[in-house]
Parts: sequence; structure tokens; C-alpha cells
Amino acid sequence: MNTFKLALTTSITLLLSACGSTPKAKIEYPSQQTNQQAVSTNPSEMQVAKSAFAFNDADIQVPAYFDTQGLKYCTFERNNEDERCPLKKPTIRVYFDKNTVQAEKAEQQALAAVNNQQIELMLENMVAGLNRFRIITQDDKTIQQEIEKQLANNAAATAQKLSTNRAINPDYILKVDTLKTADRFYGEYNGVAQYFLEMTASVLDPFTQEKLASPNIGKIRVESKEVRSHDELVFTEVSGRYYTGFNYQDQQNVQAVMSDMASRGLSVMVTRLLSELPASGEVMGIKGNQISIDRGQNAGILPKETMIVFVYEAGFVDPIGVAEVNPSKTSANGRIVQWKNSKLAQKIQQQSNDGIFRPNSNQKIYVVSVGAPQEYVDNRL
Amino acid sequence: MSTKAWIQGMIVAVVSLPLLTANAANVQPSMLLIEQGVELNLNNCEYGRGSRVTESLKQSLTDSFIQYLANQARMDLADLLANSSTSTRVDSTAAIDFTQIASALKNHQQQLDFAEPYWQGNETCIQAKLILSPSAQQTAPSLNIDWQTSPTTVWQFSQAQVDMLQVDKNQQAFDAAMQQALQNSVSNNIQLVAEQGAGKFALLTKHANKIKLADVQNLFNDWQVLGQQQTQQNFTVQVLVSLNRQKLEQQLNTLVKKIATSSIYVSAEPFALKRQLLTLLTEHNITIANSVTAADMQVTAKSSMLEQANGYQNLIELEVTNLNKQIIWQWQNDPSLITVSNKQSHQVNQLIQAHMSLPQHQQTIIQQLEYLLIEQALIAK
Repeated sequence: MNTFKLALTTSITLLLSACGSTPKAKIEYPSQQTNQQAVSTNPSEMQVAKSAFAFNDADIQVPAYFDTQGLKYCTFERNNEDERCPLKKPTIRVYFDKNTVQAEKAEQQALAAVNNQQIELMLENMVAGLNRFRIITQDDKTIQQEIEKQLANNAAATAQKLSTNRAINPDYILKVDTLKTADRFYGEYNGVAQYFLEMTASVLDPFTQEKLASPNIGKIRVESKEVRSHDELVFTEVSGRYYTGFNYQDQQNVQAVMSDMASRGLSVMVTRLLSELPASGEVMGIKGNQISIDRGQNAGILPKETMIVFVYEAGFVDPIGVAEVNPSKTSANGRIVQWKNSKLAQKIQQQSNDGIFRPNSNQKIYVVSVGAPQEYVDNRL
Repeated sequence: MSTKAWIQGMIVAVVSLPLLTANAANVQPSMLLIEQGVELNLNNCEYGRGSRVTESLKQSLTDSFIQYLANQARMDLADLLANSSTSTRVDSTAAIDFTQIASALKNHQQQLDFAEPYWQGNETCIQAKLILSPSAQQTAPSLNIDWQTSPTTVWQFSQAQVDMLQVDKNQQAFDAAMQQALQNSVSNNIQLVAEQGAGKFALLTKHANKIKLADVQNLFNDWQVLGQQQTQQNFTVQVLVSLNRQKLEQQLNTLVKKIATSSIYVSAEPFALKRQLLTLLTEHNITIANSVTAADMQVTAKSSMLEQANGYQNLIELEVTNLNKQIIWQWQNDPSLITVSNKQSHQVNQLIQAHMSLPQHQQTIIQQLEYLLIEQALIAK
């Protein structure tokens, strides 16, 4: 019986191996479209646009999220803008999260007492300058101070002004959520305090309580070693109690470190916002290398903005060059620093050399920014 | 630089200045001979964006056309015709009356043909066109009929509609509609009498449609039903009425006298509020009573500070009672208009002054008090 079984198994194995050796058969591996990667704990860095002069031909591609719909619906009146107008910006109020703290008792108190009001106002200022949103301030104190002064000066005129210019109620909230972590370890002679700050931002609709998908800022990570050198955070303990060096129990000390970290985080956030919500515009004409754009500061174009110039035809985009753009109030002018090496680009370049090239309604030319301009990052952040 | 050269430079500057200004003012249409007659074209740009700029641009284009048609057009046409070969054109185009078209543009009887505005840099531009053909010259004669504005007939037309759902079961729809039609006629006549009676009945003009005189039927000499229609929802009646103007004027006279002798007692806390109310009422010729017993109506007002999350707001409440101590009207302001940081008495006084000085508040209060005075006078009768 056993001998029979063995013979049968052998014959089946042989048979199977004979089938497997047919030339058409192939081994199919499961498809692999993703990679495994460890979660990064590195501090976040700013995303800065390359200068238009540093672009290679291959770099000239259309970035994500361009929104170049026409301006024809716009009324250009700040308080009465058409819903379809790209210059109608969402009205938002900025909130910086109250203190969510993870730390041991001794430093918890100091960290939890950190005042976020100034950070909130700072964020308002930074975001307002980008011209992507209309910011409604939380600075009640300053506003009341001014209103009180005006009331004392002329109560009737002040009331009249206030009744015709009521404070705007925001459509959305820009909320920055933070997680603050404090840590300290002690060596043989002294210890080091360490702080970590993680920030995320969301835009939410206070009426439907929905968090919106755009702009997607992601997570920003800041460490205390980025704002303070190692030596500044060193302290000495005697009998397990703070003796000298960086006082992790002192609110002022902690506030100073945290404010610097938050400020750094906000800079990173602003550069990400500029990539998430790029400035775009329509090209009205090209003359030589010069381009004339239909919107400027009012659409959030920043000085020395690196913008990709592309042709938009039948739903397809064809980049034709990269330009350095400078805005004026309602329009912008730019210079195509490098034309893309393509037939279309050459054709347009040829025509613009002979006079003013004006795009037509079937073949429009748009520009879209690639991110925070280097100059803005150097001089404003 | 020698003195001679300097003087020469000055002369050039002085001479070229008027030339420049002349050029600037010289924005005028270009004339073209076409099949139908003459075509005028002008393109102009103005700094800015939006409807206000477009409107002002259209106006300035129209002005340029008017200027050109009145002064330069005839000469330009002569030049064009001199160089043109066909003689038929000369006869037909010579019939065009430029001055008449200029005045038609001025009086808005004729409009320029404006193309869609377009943008050039920071400027908005519009192209305007005007085609003049000899046949289009025969403009319709203006209707110069002087319509009689004041009714001279004794008979007047009146109409009323009643909602079938609101008609009482016991009361027939016809009766209700008739009553309403007569009342409408009286209201119209009160309006007329008041308007013609100049200052005497000024108070009544504003409230003519609300004055419900008792014993309306007595005011009519006669009436005649012209027609009546009934649908499921409502009942309509048209009547021709003959009203006794003298009787009406008598009734109104007694009413006005009664109102003139009525007075209001004001009690308000704090004194700043009382002062504001007294000033307001006396400004509008409403008599103030010294005591409650001498008054026909009493106004009670109070102000309080509401504590909000971000400061304090001022609430002003006003209540009007009649002789029977019944509340006949209540009003309050919108405290959220102004928020201040403190509730010190000087701040409270400023807020009261600010709220009470708003024209819309003053108007509401005065109109309602006047109306209540009329109503009280009517009841008293």
C-alpha cells in the first residue's frame, strides 16, 4: 500500500513538473506600487521656489492646483465680489490652539501657561500679507481702544461709520492645532531640556462643522535645538532640584523658547500655504520676453515670483517657459527667463519677437507660481 | 550749461507744454467711410478695474464723441469725401447732421456701441463705435405732450383686493372689499390734501395710508361699482367714487389741531439718555409734558450695559404707554454695533449718544411717535 502511494506521489510530481516547464508560463508577482518607509522625525523645512534663472528645461512643468478661471465675473469691489470671481477670497478668523502639553510635572506648568495670543496675532499678520484669505482679526483690544478714542472724539460720526461698516463675520476658521512636548535628561554633571512642537492646520466651516480638504498643510515639526543652541538649554540640579542654567520651571524662559519655535513653524506653514494655494493669472500679451498678466497683488502674486507660463488648450497644458514676475496692484509684469525647448514655445517666442503676441480664446496662456519666492523667504520670514 | 542754452531749453519747454496738453485732450474718434455711411471709432483706457471704472470710461468716451461731432466731424468728413471717388456717397453722407447726433448723445437718446471691456496692464479699456447713416437720421419726432398731473375730475377711481381666507364668514367679501376701496380712496385724498396744504398737514403726509378716519362713508357724495372679480384666493372690486373734499379737510383740520395739543411725558435713565430723547422730540416739534398727568402718552427709556466675552455693549430700551397705561410700542437698539472695554459712566454716556444719534434710530422713533400721536388723536375723537 505504502509503495503504491509513493509511486503515485512521484508520478504526480513528475507530471506537474513537466507541465511547469512549458515555455509560455510566467511567474506572476503581486504588483507593488507603494514602498514601506519609517515615519520621519526630522524637523520640517521651508519649501522655497527656485529662482527662474536656476531652472533647467526639464524643470519647466505646470505645478499642482492652478486656478486660472477668468476675471470676467469680478466686480473688483472688496465687499461685493461675485462668488465666481477668483479674487473673492474666503473670509477667515485665525485660531492658534490652546496649550496641549505632554510633559512631566515640573515643566508642565510652565509650558501650559505659555500665552498664545501673540502667536495668534503674528499668524494673522503673516497670512494676511499673502492675500489668499481675508483675515478678520482677533485683536479686540486694539480695535476697542481705537473705537473708544473715536467715540470720545465724535460719538455720532463713529456710530454712523460703524453702522455702515459692520464687522465681517468670517466664513471659515483657520485653526492651527499644536502638540507641545517637553523632555529633559540628566547626565553625570548637568541636564538638557528639550522641547518639541508639532503643528497642523485646518480650514473649517463653523456652520457645517466640516474641515475642508484644501489647503492641506500637513504636519510641521519644530525642535528646540533649531532655535536654541545646546548650551543655552543646559541646567544643573542639586539634590534633584533646579540649581542653575536654563530654568525649565520659569514661564518666561519657556515662553521665549516656545514663541521662537512657533514662529519658525509658522514660517514653514506660510511657505507650504504658498505651494498649496499658488498664485495664478492669465497672460494678456507677450512682447519679446515680457509678459503682461491680468492680475497682480490682488491675486496674491508676490515680488520676484517664479511662475510657469503655460498654454491651455482643449483641457491640456503645455508649459512654454518660466518667468520672474513682479506685481502691481491689479496687474503684473514678468519676464520669461527661459523658454521651454518645444515647438509650441518656439512658435510663440517667434511671434512675440515680431510684436505683441495676444493669446486668443481657444488658446489661452496662463501663469502659475511654483511656491514661496526666495526673496520673500529671505526678507519677510 | 551756458545761459543761452538754458534760455533755449526753457523756450522749448514752454512751447512744447501746450502741445502736450493739446495732444492729451485730443482723444477723438477716427472716421471711416463705409457702405452704410460713416463709422466712428474710438478706443480709450483708464486706470483701475471694475464697474465704476467702466462706467466713467463710457462717459468719457461719450463726451469725446460729443466734442468731436460738434467740432471736428464735419471737417474730417469733407477731407474724406474730397479723397473719395464716388459721387453718390457725397450726396448721402452730406445729409448727416452731426450736431443733431451730438445732442442726441448728450440727451441719452442715442447710445454708443460699446464693445466688451478688456484689460491692459492696470488699465481697463473699451472700444466705442458709432455708425451714422443718412437713413438713420429720421429720428422719431419727440412726443411733446404735457400730461395733466393733477386730477380735475370729481370722480376718482379706486380699487381694492381682499384675501378670501381673511374674510370673516359673517362679513361678505364684497363688503370688505368695498370698505377697503373707500378707505384707499380716502388715503389717496389725505395724501393729496396734505401735499397741497403745505406745512399745515406735513405731519399727515408721511402717515396718510395709515390714518383710518372713523365714519368714512360720510365723506363720500356718491360711489359707483365698476366691476368685481372673484377667484379662489381673493376678491377684487373697482369703484368710481366722488369724495367731498371739504368734509375731509375739516376732519383733517380737527385732527391736526388735536395732535398739536397732544404732549408726551419722557422718563429716562440715565440722564444722558433723557437729554438725547428730549432733544430729539423737541427738534421734531413734539410737545413735552411736565408731568405724567398732563401727557397723552408716556415714553419710558432705560439704558444698561451688557457684558460680553470681549467687553461691554450698550442696550437702550424704549417703551410707550397710553393714558390707560397700556404699552402701545416697544423698541430697542442693536447693542452689538459697538463694543467697548469698560463700563465707566463717561463711556456709557458716549455709547448712548452714539446709538441715539444714528439717523435710522431717530427716524424710527420719531415716525412711530408721530403715528402714535395721530392714532391717539383719532381714538380720542
